Amino acid sequence: MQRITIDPITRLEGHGKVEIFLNEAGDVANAYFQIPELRGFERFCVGRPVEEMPILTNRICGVCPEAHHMAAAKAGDAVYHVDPPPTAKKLRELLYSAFYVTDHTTHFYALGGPDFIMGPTAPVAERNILGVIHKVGLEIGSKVIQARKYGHTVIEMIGGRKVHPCTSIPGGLTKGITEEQRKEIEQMGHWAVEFAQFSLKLFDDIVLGNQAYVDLVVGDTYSHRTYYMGMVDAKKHVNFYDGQISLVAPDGERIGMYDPHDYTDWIAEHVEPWTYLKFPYLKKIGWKGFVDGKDSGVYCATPLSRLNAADGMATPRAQEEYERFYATLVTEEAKRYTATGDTKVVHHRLATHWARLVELLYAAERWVELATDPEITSPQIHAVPQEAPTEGVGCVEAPRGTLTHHYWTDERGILTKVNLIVGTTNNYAPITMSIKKAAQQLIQHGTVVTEGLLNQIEMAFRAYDPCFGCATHSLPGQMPLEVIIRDAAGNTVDVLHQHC
Amino acid sequence: MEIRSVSDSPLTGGVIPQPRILIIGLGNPLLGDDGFGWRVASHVECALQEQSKTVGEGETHSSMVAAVEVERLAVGGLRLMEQMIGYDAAILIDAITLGQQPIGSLYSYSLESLPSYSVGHLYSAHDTSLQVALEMGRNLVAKLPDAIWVIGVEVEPTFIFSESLTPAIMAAVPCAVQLVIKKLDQIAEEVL
Repeated sequence: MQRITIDPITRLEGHGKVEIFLNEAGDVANAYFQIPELRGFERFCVGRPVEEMPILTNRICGVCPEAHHMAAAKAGDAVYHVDPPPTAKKLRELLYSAFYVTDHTTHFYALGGPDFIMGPTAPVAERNILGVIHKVGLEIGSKVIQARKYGHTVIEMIGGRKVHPCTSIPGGLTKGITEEQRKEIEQMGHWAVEFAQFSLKLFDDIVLGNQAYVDLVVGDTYSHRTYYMGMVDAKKHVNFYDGQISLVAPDGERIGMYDPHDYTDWIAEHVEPWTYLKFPYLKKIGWKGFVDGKDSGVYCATPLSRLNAADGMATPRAQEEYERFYATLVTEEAKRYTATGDTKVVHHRLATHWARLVELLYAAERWVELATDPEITSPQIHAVPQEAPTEGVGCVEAPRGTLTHHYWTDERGILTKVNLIVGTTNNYAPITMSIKKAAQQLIQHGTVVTEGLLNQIEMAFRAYDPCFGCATHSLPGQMPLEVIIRDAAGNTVDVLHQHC
Repeated sequence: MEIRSVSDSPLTGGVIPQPRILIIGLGNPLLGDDGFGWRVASHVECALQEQSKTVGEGETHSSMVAAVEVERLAVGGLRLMEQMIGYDAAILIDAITLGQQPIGSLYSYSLESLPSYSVGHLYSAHDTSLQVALEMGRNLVAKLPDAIWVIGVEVEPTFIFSESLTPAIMAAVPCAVQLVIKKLDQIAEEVL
């Protein structure tokens, strides 16, 4: 294979750009996926008060401001060495649960779901939410809008604003909720639970009830045996807001649990010459390239990863779905890779869509649990920091991966250094691997099957729900997927575009 | 004219007798020229407040009959569509890269005349395009603006964090403010 090294000055960056390099036999040697990186945010923050970070970081992008708000708030607590009162933590988690319901709903119905509901071979113009509504009925669209509306209402009640929450500060929150608001939140939460169950039933009917889709999900094209990461509570159940980070090997063995503050003991970053973005990997396993298996430090942090890294779900209905998920998908073949002949790990990337719905149900149930917590309307929502600020780490599970904020300040609380590991960055290596594998199916011996290539590549990375940051709001909304295929000499063989 | 900020006027609910017009500054104010929409929206808000104070007795202004609300947002697709529910008309102010005019050039388009590349769903991996979201909303019989106008400025896409606009984009702000107010008057007349 001829290696193509791209000078750092001309590194490739762009929206959804994929470069596929062929070897001399005309087969896929490498595939690179370029995500536009927002450079210099850490430096941009230096010199600002740490209290600004929950407001500032939720504008990094328009996709998950709530996740950045929460990670920044928790990092602020840590910097000031202050433990927020239980009600403040519960309110933050309640807001976050409502956010998860909106985010996972959107992904399933508007983004990932259409591949299945319309079919992976349906024309791209039909594989969207409009196609879903047309096929399944207007009622679906109304439910999606209702779920989002309820979620945004809760976010506004607790977070002060519908879009960019602003109420978390070091030590807690600036406002609580009234009993009247609590009742309204509870009512909306019950609706969300029913909606999540409806969504799982829809998945059952459309995907699990169709053998062709089941074969696609459990097939080899979209499977990788990597490590998995996810936050868990004291009982090792999935938690989005707080807990330790659990790491599970491809054979299902838990290799460790760490406090978010110790992330640098576990995570290192690999640099490639063709992109500014770094590839996090497990330090204790080491970087062995874009390969899977137990010897490769590549890990994944997604809804599927969180289920794999946990021992279960903390709410009853979600636990039932969790058990059904593994009973259905853990194959005899997977068990053969383990010493004990048993495992509880699923490697099928397309199963992430199902895992996301299990999480949707958990988020809705947790929403109701917290809304009915006796402490939730307590006025004790803030603990005044008593110690000088120094350094701290805040970590939450963003819908698309573990999100870590690490701040250092001077004695006045002015930031001197900032480090962020965002959700999608965790998954950059596995996304690249999935795209390569999808491309390998359609490019063999120099023959490029262009029909379906873009769709298969799209499906490969859509399961990860990757974040394209700033690309989410600009008009007129041009977000082309571009695939460039190069031969062993680096010459362009073909360029495929899709204004998806 | 009545000027509201969205924060003190719920998006839905409440009967407002006047036509409702929403002005949205779009963009990320931390991403250099992408903050153009926010900057212009803030100036428009100030200009409208000033205008309402200085209107003399007996004078009328076309936009006085409309309830105008100004918002600054960094969202797209479904969230942006949802923000517009309940309004009669909307003006979006944004940084645009069409590549047809020099950097700093101003555009004034109806949303319908802009291309909707996102016929599928890769516009963002998380969202649909605004056009798809609006079609979805209208299919669901949500009350959405009949008229949506886009006032844009041509920019170089940026991925560098900064709160400053480049000189060429900064220079376009005053004209954009006038363009928005002119469009507002025109829309107010049309929706009457």
